Amino acid sequence: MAARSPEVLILTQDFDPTVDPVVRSLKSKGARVVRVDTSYFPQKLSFTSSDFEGGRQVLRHRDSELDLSAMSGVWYRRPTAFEFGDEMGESERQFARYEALHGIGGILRATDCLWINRPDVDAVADLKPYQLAMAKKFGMRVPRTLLTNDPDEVARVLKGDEGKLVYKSLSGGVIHYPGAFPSGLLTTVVGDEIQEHLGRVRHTMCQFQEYIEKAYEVRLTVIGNTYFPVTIDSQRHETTQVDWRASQDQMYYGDYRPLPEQIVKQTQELLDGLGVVYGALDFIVTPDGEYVFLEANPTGQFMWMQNDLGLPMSDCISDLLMEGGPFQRGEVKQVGY
Amino acid sequence: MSNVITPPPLRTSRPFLSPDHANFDPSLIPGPEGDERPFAYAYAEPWNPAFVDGPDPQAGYYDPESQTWVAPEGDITAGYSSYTQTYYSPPFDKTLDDICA
Repeated sequence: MAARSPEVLILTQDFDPTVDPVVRSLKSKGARVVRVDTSYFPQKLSFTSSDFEGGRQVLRHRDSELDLSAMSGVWYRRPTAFEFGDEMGESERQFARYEALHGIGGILRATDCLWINRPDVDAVADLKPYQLAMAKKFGMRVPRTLLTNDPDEVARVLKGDEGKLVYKSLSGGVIHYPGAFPSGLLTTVVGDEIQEHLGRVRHTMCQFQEYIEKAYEVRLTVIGNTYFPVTIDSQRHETTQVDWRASQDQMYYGDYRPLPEQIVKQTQELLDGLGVVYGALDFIVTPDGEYVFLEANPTGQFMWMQNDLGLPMSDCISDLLMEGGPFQRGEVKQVGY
Repeated sequence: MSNVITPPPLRTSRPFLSPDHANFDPSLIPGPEGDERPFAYAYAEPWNPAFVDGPDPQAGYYDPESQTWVAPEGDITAGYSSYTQTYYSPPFDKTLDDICA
């Protein structure tokens, strides 16, 4: 009997240029791909888990049926909110949404295939203060950090002889204004102007960190046990010295530098602690060559590096999804460019 | 788990903005000042309003058969240095979400 093709479920929105090359890669390797957005539910997408008639767990969309108990992998990318029919009022839609979250969440959580990454794991792993605590636990150096909504705490650090401080948001570099373009919020060195804004710290949690001098930075993409460390030569240009995302014209990639063994070991421990299979991690490398962990992005993008540097990341994702689960953390392979 | 199945969609790059944003009213963007606004707002800068007159930011369509986005001129690339070509006359857009998310 012919071996069954691996079946992969991808949960994401229709427009997701990061997913398209992976879909093509999966198909070229012989996998069966079912890509859906949760916004299709309930009008164009159904989930069923039944103990009757022999039992089954299935997802149906268009003319596709996917046996959820036989999948090799699920890629949880960027699925969007359920879209309920106009026939329901707001309160009915809210009830339907919670029922769907519990029902679909429970059915998917009961699968034992490989997940990149499981949403519940993602949600916790994405908590930046938790990442920093975990990284410290595993012996990584992290920036000294102040998290507070108390302006007096910030004033106290500013009065001390602590060197330069940066402000960095916890939830990403975007302030969204419905109906208008968003604003970008990059990591910023705070100066004397902070005195006039200190009172605004009270509105919500704020994260301040010591500024660490850099030789260069590393964006490490981890796909299972494959590491893609990319050197960002952020100090080459003034605009990218504090935050390399500020690059207006081009990314300043540096030469490939494999990670030291100790950093690989600590990263494996950190990712194991966070429970994620995939992660995009940011490090500063100081002029003394010390690695400083900044943060991990459990759903961080990677296609920009594949496109610019020719790294085989799509294939690596598809191989992992086809391999099946549960994921076993093991020997690390570093891939250069 | 129950609340994290459908996280907020990507919203940071031009291709992900709704068409409404193409004709936005600049007065809707609050200034950085104002004690009632969180600390972060003092350090935020509006993004690329020059792009508002550009071509359709979501040119193309999703093809359920291939399960990929079909763009008017070949596959979408998502490079930083090469820019993300999601519409097809310069200047190309740059998906900041590709690096900050």
